[in-house]
Amino acid sequence: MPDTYGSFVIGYSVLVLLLFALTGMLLKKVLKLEKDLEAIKNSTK
Amino acid sequence: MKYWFLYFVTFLSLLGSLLYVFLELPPEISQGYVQKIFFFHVPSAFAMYFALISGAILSGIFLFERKQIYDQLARACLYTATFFSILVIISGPIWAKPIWGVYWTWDPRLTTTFVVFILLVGYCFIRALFQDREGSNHRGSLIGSIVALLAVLDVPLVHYSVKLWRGVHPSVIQKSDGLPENYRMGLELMVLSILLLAGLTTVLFYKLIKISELKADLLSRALKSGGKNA
Repeated sequence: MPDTYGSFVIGYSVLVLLLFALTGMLLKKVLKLEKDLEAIKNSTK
Repeated sequence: MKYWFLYFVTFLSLLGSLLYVFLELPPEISQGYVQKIFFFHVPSAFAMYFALISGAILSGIFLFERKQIYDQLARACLYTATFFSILVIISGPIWAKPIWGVYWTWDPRLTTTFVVFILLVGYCFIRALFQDREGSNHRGSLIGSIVALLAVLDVPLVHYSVKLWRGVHPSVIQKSDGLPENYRMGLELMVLSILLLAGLTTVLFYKLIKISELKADLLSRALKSGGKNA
């Protein structure tokens, strides 16, 4: 089990990066959907 | 642009808090570095409580008002609660193995948290299951709201389980002298950062749900009008 300072720093860094990536993916999806919606709105006008 | 700003503010705050926890706070005397998990585990549990309670209140309002916006907001809150419940369920056993010698034990707090986790995962399954092609989710909204109200009933049990049944789970937060001043500061910083993260994910989930439903609605209308014209 991780019981040293180094392994904890690495573990936490991986975790923060993972959260960063997951939220970033969510953000990108929202921005893409916003663009799609604009395109649909324009095409149905 | 505003989302990107919120995104970077959240992660700067999270990085700053973690740097404080790792560089400023000395390792705990009896547990060593393993105790550092506490600074992630407890704020994640707070975020789960907060999102679940908000989601359940919004679900209750939806059941009375039947307005789509309450359902969309409740759904965003409950997806966030599910996300943080997963983080709680993962971070707990990482601490438990070196301290208790086992990853999991059926302690009252662990059991009640597991029940919340199962109910939240069930909520997500229900929402996915009842999603039809046109984006309307009426049955899913009703059943989901009831599941959310059931899940929130478990929150007081999770919180007071340590006192009620005297399990092995520590309860340093509920004691006034449970934490030294610098540790309390570290915890408060982490709670703030994790709550910011929870706010960000809730906003993003809400936008995702709202835009997806709007898009499906527009597409189905366009298809119907196209069909009539043809």
